[in-house]
Amino acid sequence: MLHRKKKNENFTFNEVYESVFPVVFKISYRITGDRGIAEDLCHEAFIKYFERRGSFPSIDEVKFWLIRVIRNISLNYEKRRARERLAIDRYKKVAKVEDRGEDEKLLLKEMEEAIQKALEELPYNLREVLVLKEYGGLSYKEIGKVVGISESNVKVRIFRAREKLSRLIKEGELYVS
Amino acid sequence: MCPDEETLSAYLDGEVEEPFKSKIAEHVKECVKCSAKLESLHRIKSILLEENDPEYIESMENVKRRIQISMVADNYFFGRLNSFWKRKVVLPLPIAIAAIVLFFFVGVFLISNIPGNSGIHMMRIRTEPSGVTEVQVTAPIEDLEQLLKFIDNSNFKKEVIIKLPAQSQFLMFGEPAIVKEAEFSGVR
Ligand SMILES: [Zn+2]
Repeated sequence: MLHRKKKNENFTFNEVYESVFPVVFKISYRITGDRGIAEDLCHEAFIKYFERRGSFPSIDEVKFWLIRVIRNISLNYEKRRARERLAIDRYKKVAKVEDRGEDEKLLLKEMEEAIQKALEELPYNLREVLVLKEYGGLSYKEIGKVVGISESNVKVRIFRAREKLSRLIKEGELYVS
Repeated sequence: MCPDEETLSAYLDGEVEEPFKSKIAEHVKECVKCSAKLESLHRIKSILLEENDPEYIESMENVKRRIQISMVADNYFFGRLNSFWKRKVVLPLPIAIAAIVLFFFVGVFLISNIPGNSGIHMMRIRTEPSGVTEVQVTAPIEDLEQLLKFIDNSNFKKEVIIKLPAQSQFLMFGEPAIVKEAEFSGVR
């Protein structure tokens, strides 16, 4: 079933899955910051696709559609749990500074985590455009279509996201050292 | 005249068309302020791009398995069961979605591997005259993933049959329940 072609489509579910999963997962992970959640949401997204097979002319179209779906459900998820999350993050951040190790690898990992955390502190409207740009590899035009805003709006939001992110990371550095 | 900062950021993304693109390139060479801004925007971009991708291979497998399970259930309900799953799936009528009974034939060493608070419960262990040990386990539907992980991790590749119980209350709503509770109580 996963390997069978649907009428009107010259590709299989499996082919779509293999080629599109990485980017869909990455977007969801970067929006939610949680691997388990990203898996849940990817599951949901691909089931949605499975139910709509046959209506896409190319894998690229499927990919674009799936990016839209994953963006929507990831964002919805985030909004739902936002308040409770904030409190936990604050707590985690304090704890992390205390049990820092000297190991370089650990530091690197910490830095990555710090950047992911900073990303999660961006407001949704800024976070999503930046994630779609840097991790989804979409053009401004495509991002505009996914999010439902104009290209020039995308441009403004990406700039603001970068500004805000660099401020957050700088603050983080001050905090850590 | 300096381009606005949004435009510099777009320029960085290759989103500025000619002739503006060349003009900005020229300008940035001369203007300290703009080249510094571009540099700092570039730094943020590369920080994000340098982030290691989340390890997705394992997630890819996990999700795939879950999709397959969803489809088993789906197919069953629509009466179109295909044998696309590698494992043997036995689906007797009528179906209960509340719980799944798993039979597998294992060596006894395996039994201690069941995670304590996983929601997976041992129901019965029986050794056949032939020497194989049959272990019956129940797991709530929501723990299917864990159940499969458990099977995969159990370095045991003989025969695994996942069976939806033949008769049970049809619980569409509410908490997943363990079927035949009486049989396993006290046997954990
Ligand atoms: Zn300038």
